[in-house]
Amino acid sequence: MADNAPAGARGERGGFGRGRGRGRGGRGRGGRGRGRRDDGEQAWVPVTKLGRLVKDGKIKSIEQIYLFSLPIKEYQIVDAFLPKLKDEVMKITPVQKQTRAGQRTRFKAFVAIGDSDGHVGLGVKCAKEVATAIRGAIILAKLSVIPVRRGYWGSKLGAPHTVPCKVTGKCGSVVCRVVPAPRGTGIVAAPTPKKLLALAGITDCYTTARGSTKTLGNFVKAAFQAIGNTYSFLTPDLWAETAFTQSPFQEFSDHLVKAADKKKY
Amino acid sequence: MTVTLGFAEPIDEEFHSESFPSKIGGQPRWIDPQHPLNVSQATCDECQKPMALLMQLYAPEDEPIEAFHRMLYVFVCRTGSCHRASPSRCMRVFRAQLAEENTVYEEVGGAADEDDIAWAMRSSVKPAKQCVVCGMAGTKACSKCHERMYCSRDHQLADWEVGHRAQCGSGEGEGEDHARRLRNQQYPELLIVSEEEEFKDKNDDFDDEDDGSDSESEDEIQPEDGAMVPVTNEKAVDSEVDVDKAFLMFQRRIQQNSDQVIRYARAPGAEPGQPLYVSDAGIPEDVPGCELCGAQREFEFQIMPQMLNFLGLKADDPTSIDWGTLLVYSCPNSCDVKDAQYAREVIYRQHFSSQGIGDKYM
Repeated sequence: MADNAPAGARGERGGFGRGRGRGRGGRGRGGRGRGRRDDGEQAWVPVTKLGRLVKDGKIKSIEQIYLFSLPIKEYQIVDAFLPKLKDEVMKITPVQKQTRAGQRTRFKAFVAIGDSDGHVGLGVKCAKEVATAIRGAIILAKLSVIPVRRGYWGSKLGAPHTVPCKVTGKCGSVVCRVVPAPRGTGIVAAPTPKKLLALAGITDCYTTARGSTKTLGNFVKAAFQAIGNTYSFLTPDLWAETAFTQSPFQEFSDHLVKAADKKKY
Repeated sequence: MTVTLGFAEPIDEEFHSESFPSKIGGQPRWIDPQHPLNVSQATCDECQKPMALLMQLYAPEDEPIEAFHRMLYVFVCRTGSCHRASPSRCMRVFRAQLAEENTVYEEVGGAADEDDIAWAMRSSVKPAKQCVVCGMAGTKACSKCHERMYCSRDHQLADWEVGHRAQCGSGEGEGEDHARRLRNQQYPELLIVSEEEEFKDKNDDFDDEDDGSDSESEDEIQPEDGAMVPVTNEKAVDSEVDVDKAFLMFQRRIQQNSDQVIRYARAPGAEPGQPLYVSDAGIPEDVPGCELCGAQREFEFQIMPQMLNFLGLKADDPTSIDWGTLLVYSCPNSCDVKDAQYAREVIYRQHFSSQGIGDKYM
């Protein structure tokens, strides 16, 4: 397309920002690193509409997002609502792939995150370095934060402390079942799901697991699915009909559904 | 392939003297003020109202010589609900260009240093009448005072309401309030500055798509492990995020320059760049060829969703404009526009997918 400009001409002008009249390279920004804070992190510039709404403070709690099942694509949204999330690295396993030049080892990090009060997330990330894997897993865990419904074992005194009913989750061959328990029981579980349940804010429960629980990936995902199912379970106290509120982002939700359609010019 | 990024900055003093600004919002600065765009070309097909300037970009080319000065204008309809339709109905892109030797501008400034060349409008140039609201060709005048020009009835009504009614015929100019309200009819005006993208690929862990073929041993691989096979035959169910890879790549790429608003991917002499997609759906196919010269259109630049932060949109308006990214494809030859003055180019829109990461576990 464009050859080198002949000598004596004005050199390459093409492309935005390289035009003449504004000096080489077009107008530069006022100081490189403008807008950077000291820790090297840049201020969050939201990319999705939900992100813009959250940054402007138009959404009061993360429950509003859950109510309309809006996808959370930016982890800063979760950070904005749940600043007190605690993360816990459950395991770091090396995984290997056979290549012609030997084996390529990467590290897989499992991170569980939660605020011990009804929100929990799970992230899995594989990367060449451990620190990178952990950082990536934390971000994925934040994006997968899910609400946990808690209930009572017996009399409804005080705050909910256990799961509302028996829930089960399955992943691979591992089936994990979480059963309500009376107050004071504590979490009766293997160490792996115990951490997850503690981060979820479940104080008392019995658990049962079956299958190859040695595969930590499957076990922890089964437990995560089980506590996620607490809000999918229809209990009698939810039988009353609810009036659906018009989501303020109604148009927004609608167009997401349509986004799957093939765009024609 | 180097990408040039555009960032939005507030307007400074130099801006007003610039002949070829790249900017967001405001009224368009026509490359040839004697021939402003006619509103009939930039009317939304859905609501029949005139479109507003979203941004204009000065993107000169070395060749052909007719494209020495080259400007791209992007117009969008301000009514959010029109954007549920296909982008060709509510958005337009126009290309206008001038040769180096032209009847509109003359060179000024020192020839000693090539970088100091500037252009000023020739004194012989008399700008055509522009609509006071939007800057497009002003073909209609106020019926009472004949002093204010408009492009369409919609803008005549708008100007009447925001303040012309009070001072029509009185001979005084716009009041401050009136001028401010007129400016609100357009998007807030901001300058676009450019910078080359510096992308340090610190975590190049994007080869984790092939994890399915990994032989995973769930136990810690200790050197003293005698077993040659994993203790359990169970393989973990694939735990990589196969949801929306394109979006994750997009996020990684913009992380280091999170306030970028434009990604310009056409460089002289190099292959045209690939756009940075935001999702796997909605990738443009069958891009129509240039109407004037028939060449296959190539990707030139894309507008990032961060620009929406600068448009002053009301956050909780459910019908406000939204996009994942806007991709602009234009004629690679920058063919001569001649009498039509403005060549139409194509624009595609991609929305974010509706998948969240949590879907994977449920």
